[in-house]
Amino acid sequence: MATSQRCPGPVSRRNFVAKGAVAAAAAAGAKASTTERRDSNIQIPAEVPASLAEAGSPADFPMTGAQVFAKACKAEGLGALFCAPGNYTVINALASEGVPCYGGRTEGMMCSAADGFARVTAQVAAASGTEGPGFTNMIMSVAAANAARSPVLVLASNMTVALEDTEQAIQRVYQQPTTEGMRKYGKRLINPDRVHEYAGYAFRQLKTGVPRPVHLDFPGEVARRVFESAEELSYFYGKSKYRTDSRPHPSPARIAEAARWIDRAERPIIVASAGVFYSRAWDALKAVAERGDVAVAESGPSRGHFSDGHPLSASTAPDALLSADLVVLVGQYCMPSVGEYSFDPDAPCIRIDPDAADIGRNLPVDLGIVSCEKAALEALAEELPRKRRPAWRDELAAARAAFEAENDEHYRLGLRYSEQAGCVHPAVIAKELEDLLYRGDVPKDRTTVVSGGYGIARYVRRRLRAYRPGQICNGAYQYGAIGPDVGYAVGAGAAVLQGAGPQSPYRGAPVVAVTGDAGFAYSAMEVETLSKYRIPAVVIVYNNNAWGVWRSGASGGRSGTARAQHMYLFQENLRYEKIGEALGARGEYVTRAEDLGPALRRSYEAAEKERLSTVINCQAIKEFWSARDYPPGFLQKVEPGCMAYYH
Amino acid sequence: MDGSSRDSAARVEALLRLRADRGVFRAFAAATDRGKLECSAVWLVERPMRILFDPDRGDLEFRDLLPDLPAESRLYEDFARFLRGRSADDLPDHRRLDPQRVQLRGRNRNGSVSVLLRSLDGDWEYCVAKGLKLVNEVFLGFLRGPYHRYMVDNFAEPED
Repeated sequence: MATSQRCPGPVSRRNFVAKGAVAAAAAAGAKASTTERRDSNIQIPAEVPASLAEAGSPADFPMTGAQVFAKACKAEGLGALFCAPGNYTVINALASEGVPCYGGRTEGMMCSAADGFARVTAQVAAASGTEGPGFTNMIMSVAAANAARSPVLVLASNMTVALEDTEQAIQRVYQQPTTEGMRKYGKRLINPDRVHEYAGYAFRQLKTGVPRPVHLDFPGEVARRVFESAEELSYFYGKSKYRTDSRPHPSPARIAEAARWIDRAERPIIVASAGVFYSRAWDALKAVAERGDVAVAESGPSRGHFSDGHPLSASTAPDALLSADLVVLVGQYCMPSVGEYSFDPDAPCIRIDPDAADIGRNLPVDLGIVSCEKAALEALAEELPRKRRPAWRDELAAARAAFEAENDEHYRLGLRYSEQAGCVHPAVIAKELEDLLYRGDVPKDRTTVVSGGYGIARYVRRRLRAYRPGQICNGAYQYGAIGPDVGYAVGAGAAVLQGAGPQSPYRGAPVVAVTGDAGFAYSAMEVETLSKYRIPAVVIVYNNNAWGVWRSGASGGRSGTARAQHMYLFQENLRYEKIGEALGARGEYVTRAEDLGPALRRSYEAAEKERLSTVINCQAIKEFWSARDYPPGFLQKVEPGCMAYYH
Repeated sequence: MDGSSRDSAARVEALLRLRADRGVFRAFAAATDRGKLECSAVWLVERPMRILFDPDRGDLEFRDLLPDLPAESRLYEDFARFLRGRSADDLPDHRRLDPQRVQLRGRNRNGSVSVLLRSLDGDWEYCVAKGLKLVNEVFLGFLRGPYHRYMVDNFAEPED
């Protein structure tokens, strides 16, 4: 392309790294090496590393509305922006202000990337798209972020208020009603002089209470208006004046009551969910658990705020859940209904949540505590009598061992089925991934994983482990959108590349994403985004030639007919890894169980040493979901814990 | 029906109402017919469960708990094994049904499976608590095994 010709020459991946394309990655010691693909001329244009190497240039008066807004975002510590072009003045201003920015292939997946970033960092991330089409492309991802309670700032440009209701030019839509019901707060900015004030509105919502998306749309009159001085802006003052970091603290009487209940219980359990992560309460949680020998099972859109390696972890002890005689839900924003969590019906329930209006919804509560999760857990750690519960610890250990034995049995069967069918059974994928991430040379807390897909997730989640906060991004959490997994991987990978929040010690490490062949179709193009930014990822695609629900259309299914079946099937043996190769990543096609381990190790090494992403296409067959032909077939799940994704 | 039977039925109803009041059941109704208690509870699945109590026999029955389960099916075979295992010696007390106190059996009538607990000591609190724990474990433990299709077909479990 013309602009490349004027640059010092096309950028090889070696040059890209050498020029410090992403300062964070360079700081992490990412190793430069020649990684050009010999069989293609895919190149990263010189402008990419050059513009990434540019230092931020914070604006000063005179400033546009977009710059005023960007300045407020920077001051609030906005973690990253993920976008597709559009909303130009705003995204350009954010980039200039020094907010880490990423441009991808679709607005929808960039919104998922922002969600993925938030899920592994507990930080606010933004997504942006153009007027009408770009904005509406984001809707599924906004809804998924809303269900997951992610603090995502959705920004979208709008044409102008002046031409509202006309069809002059293109892309006109009235945005705000579209996100009704899938956001915490939304506003179409009308008055240019209040743009800073509305940044305050946005961050007050994003950084307090239960997080959910905030949607601001920017008509041209606001984004492009030029302010000569601060006097032209209303409510133009810093964050310490427009919001507070103060958090609701629990009633001492309620904490004392909760401590008494826990002390009296024989087998208490805490369900630690999103609120523990977002309030960064993992140390307080550990203190409570260890003080009273209280078991902890995780739930929520991310995992790792209580280590799976801890002897009190119940996340991989599903059978022990039914033994608990007291349940303490902490920060469980997405509430299960009766019958969705595997607890004894006679076990009393304590719920700790910052939102009083939500306590008692779906699940009956015996003791409600309105509080910031961290404040409540810190208070509980002080109040709780020290107690040892060896029998409960033993039961947890036995349940974990039984769960592992069940996984091993699946693997044994999976090997046999792989041999019989001449492809790779999902139990084999789960085991090989576990071996790579936690049983080999890779430190077991190192790799952040996006756990997505449909049926494959039922096997893989059983073997994924989280040893530190933000280690697992739970893909299709609650909303059940299959497909954003590569989008989440962009966000989680960017977070690791930047070393954002709890990812700081793992800066530059590879990320792993697991998805299915149906889901991959929704986000495959973002492999190009991974490659462009040299975000080192290993994307595992479980390829069973069909939608996971293919049996619903089969003649044997309750509502299916033979005539419906074709709608559920794909062409067989599709080569998804070649999509990866075509987009600047590596590709691996695995058709035998024994080849998967080496393919995973090669891919991880390419990510680690060369910052090259890989798409591993794991060939399977749809019949593996049949419990009759390949028992156990499609697996059920038990929640809370490592299998959770509804809540 | 003697006073003792009436008292037993009233006691069992009170124990079930206690769970309804705690919100364990989303909906609950009870009626007594010729001394026998018949309750309907919406609990773990959308379909109401029928809970019957015969005070003369001391039977607490979860009637037609699992539909469409032919006696010769593998699932039923697994279910029967699951029921037998509820009194295993290696289970902890809080998960175990004491066979000295409660006799447990399943009944399959044309593919409709009921579960009965017969109290051997007249301790209705124990019998009701264990019965509810058992049914809870059927749906939240046993049926979370390789029976996804059965749950989809019979209890509207989401396919996704």
